[in-house]
Amino acid sequence: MSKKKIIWLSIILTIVVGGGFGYYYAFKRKPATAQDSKPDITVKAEELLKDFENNYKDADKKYLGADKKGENIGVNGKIKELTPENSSLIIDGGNSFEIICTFDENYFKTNSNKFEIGKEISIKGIYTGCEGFEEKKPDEEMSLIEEANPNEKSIKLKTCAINN
Amino acid sequence: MNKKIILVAISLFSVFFGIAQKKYLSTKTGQINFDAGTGVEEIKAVNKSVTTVIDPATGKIEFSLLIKGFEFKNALMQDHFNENYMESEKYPKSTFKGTITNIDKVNFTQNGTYPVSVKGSLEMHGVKKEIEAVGKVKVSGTDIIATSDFSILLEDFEIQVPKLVGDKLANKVKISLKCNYKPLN
Repeated sequence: MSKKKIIWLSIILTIVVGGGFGYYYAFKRKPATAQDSKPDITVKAEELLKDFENNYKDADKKYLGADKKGENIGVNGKIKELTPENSSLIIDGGNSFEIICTFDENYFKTNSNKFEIGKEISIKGIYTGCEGFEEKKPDEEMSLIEEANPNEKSIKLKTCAINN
Repeated sequence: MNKKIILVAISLFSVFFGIAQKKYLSTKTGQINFDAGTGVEEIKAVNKSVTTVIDPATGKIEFSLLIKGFEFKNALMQDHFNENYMESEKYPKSTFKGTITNIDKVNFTQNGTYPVSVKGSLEMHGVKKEIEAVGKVKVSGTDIIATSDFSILLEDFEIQVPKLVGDKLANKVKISLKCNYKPLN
């Protein structure tokens, strides 16, 4: 093979392979999950609450991250509620503050022996937002959800996993 | 003396009755799936952290979810969903406030599957719209599972789809929900 041919061939190969990777990256890439990445920050449940109580809008921005897709947060706390039928658990943040964590069904099943009510655990998950921190307007009606869970505040994490 | 006993009994009864009236059914990890594909491409997502409450006494029912809580299999779709269509930065939440209109037909203390009709106001993308849906409530012991399938139109919620992706994204979006309720203490 002549030198020219080799050069041409490698150029074509680079374009095809690069294009393939580019196409995959742009169109077929899976969303980032907490399960297969390291947490951006790890905090205690109580510290999270403090952050949100100080200024929930700032805290929301901080935990959504610069790209607004949600940071992978590691949270240390006690398991308050277990709902295996929904592959989820709730970490108690104290003072009616809950960290609601949802998992991939298979992941939750294979790790279910590690989840126990009252047990201290560290969970990582992608932050999706907070609820219950907004100030009520004086004329605003109380919703049924607020009526049933008075003063309850929460943040929600998705694609969770145990934070090792 | 007898009168006193009767009075005490009445007040105790009303206290218990009052508590019974306040018993809600709730979950914070209900599931809502949606399918907006047209056959050209699969566009599906699931939200596993739906907060919902039913008041069995009145039939009132409420749902609340965070838009960013939806999980797609494809990162680009998830980004477009949040940034272009739902504008989740501006409208982070979606809520439904309504009533199970035939709540009197559901016996929460007797195992069985009960068909239900729900009517109410769905708010998403900053737009409120009255909707109606049918579903089922399955009672087995203290587990209460509600399921429903219904459709919504994107244009009703002022969600604009560029013409370029018009053939990939259905204007009519199929929604299905499954929520395992537990009595709230």
